[in-house]
Amino acid sequence: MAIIIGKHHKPFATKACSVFIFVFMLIFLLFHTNNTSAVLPQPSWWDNTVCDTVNYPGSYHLGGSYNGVLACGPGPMQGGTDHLVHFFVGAVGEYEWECLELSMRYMYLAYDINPYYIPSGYAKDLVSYYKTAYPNGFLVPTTNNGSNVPTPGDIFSSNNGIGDYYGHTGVITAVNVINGNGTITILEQNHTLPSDGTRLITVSNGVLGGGITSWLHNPENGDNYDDDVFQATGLTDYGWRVSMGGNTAWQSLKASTTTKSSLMLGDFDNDGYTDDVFQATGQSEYGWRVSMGGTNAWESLKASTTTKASLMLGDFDNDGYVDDVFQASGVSGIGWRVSMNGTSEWQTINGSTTQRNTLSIGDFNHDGYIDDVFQASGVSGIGWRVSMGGNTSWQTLNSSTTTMPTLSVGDFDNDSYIDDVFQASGVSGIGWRVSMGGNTAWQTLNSSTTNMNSLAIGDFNHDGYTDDVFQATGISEYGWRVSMGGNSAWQPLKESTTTMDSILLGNF
Amino acid sequence: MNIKSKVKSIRIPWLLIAILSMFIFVSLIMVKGGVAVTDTARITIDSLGITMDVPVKLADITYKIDSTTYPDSPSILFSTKSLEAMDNNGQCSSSHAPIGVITLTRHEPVKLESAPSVDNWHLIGHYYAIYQSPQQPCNNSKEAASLQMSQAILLHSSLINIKEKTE
Repeated sequence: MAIIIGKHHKPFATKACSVFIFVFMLIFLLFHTNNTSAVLPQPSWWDNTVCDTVNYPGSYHLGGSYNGVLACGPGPMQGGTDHLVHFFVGAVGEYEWECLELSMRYMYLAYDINPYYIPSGYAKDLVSYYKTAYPNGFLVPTTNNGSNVPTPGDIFSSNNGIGDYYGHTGVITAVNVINGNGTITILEQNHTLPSDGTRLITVSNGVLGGGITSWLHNPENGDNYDDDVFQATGLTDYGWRVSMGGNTAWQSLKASTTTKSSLMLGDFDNDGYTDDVFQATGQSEYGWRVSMGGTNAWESLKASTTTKASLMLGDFDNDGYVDDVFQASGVSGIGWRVSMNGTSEWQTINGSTTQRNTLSIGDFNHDGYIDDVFQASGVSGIGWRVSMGGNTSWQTLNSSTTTMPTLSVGDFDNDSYIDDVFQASGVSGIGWRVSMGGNTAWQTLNSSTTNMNSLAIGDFNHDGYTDDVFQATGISEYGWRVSMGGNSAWQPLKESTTTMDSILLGNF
Repeated sequence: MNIKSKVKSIRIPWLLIAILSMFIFVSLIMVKGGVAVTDTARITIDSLGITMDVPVKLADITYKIDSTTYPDSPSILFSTKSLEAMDNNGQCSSSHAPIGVITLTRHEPVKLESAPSVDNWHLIGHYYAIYQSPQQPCNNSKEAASLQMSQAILLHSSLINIKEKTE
């Protein structure tokens, strides 16, 4: 039949087919782009092939992927035979295409975690042995007991009982859970065929099905993005509220009349979300207190009468959580001090008398911890300087005389470190500018004349980088808006007339 | 036309012969248990009341029975002495099931939460034998991994050779 019509209709069929494929690919790419945050690099050991066909001839992409990480097949004993692979020389070996290989590959590509031996050799033990392999590892083993919901990018272990002696593992790629009920989507290999490597798992009353026992949670992420707008107006009819992603309906938090002037957001309870409200009123009857998730009852921290005006939150003790209180009172004899977790005794870190109003905290020395103190005194001859870990001698950065009120620190050059200095002078002709690493020449961003006092920096476009400029002017004709990467056109967020004075950005 | 007719008349006997040959071949395989009798070794596990014929390359097979994880569905964890000889971290012993695990259960595989593919289970009387292949190399060397996988494949092929022990 095909041969009979071929000569006359093949050109038309070819064109129609080409148009169809083009449209299909276009739709796919658009859809794919809208649902993908950062695309991870393909494994270097695949030698530019899809699913490592050099090492494992006949391999193929099952169809499913997450952030560019592919689920491959065939599964062992399902038309294939496992092939040993080492992600790099000296790495613990994995078998292509076992479920374990996918989880190990994802952790290696996404989190830079080397494959590790599981003493039992079973996928069901991948989560429980993570801390044995990496006692100081930053992923958090989390039990499936109904009190936690995973986030995309978490790695699960499951055990479905009889016939599933080794258990299973994979990557959680999407979470759609409301009030404890809904579904998650997983990416997996070597599950019952036919499969494209993805599967929906039901969540009931906060408990994940599919035999999932636990997962490794990335504490750097809630939904992976610091884009939730926290409003603390201090008014009893509003109190504290959160708008997820800056565009969902308000959700009430713990009732309080405390205003933003005495609040900060951090992660004190190590749940991986920057959503704990730290209150430092400086009044002896309250002192410092934390409300976990913004909803729990107050918990007292170290007694202190120091107010927020001389405090910052960071991670000085390298435990991976932004919960250490940094005090820069500028008073001679006190200098800079840190209270780990907000509860330990003060530790002196620098004898400087520089006040907090010329300081900011970031990660300039690329050790992965937000503990470097950035000073922008604006004094000629001093300019910008960094004290690594808050306790080394000053290192000169840019020679700018710009002062802190027009500066902020973020990650604009996508090197994963919060060390880029963002300037929003509001002066026409200068507008917004960025100095990568704090020591390169200015690069012009948006031509806006908006001042820093109506701006904040976060990650709204889910590219994993803190480089989107959030504007909350409170003016009805503008409302809240976001400029992605600091250089794209404004995009409106949830309509609101609230100004920056009562807003914080976090990950709730 | 005459030539075509002759071709057709020749093709039919050849097709029949081919089908008959395949039938005989498959029957032989079924009768002989998947491998030639002369190339097998028999394992008898009295406590579970089963025997299993395995290729002679698995004659040094070792096993451990786990009747505690699922008391009504015991699992047999397999390794070999040759693989254990290459062990450098204790993970190639039978307690880690480096060449696979076979679970005996009365539960119908297709109704299990994690239903195995049809190639990975076999009915033995009133029991089902379910095979799972290893998931991680028990030794980081290519030689050990190669041996581990080749032995896992042989064990998998022996799944259909499990029988209830007869006195």
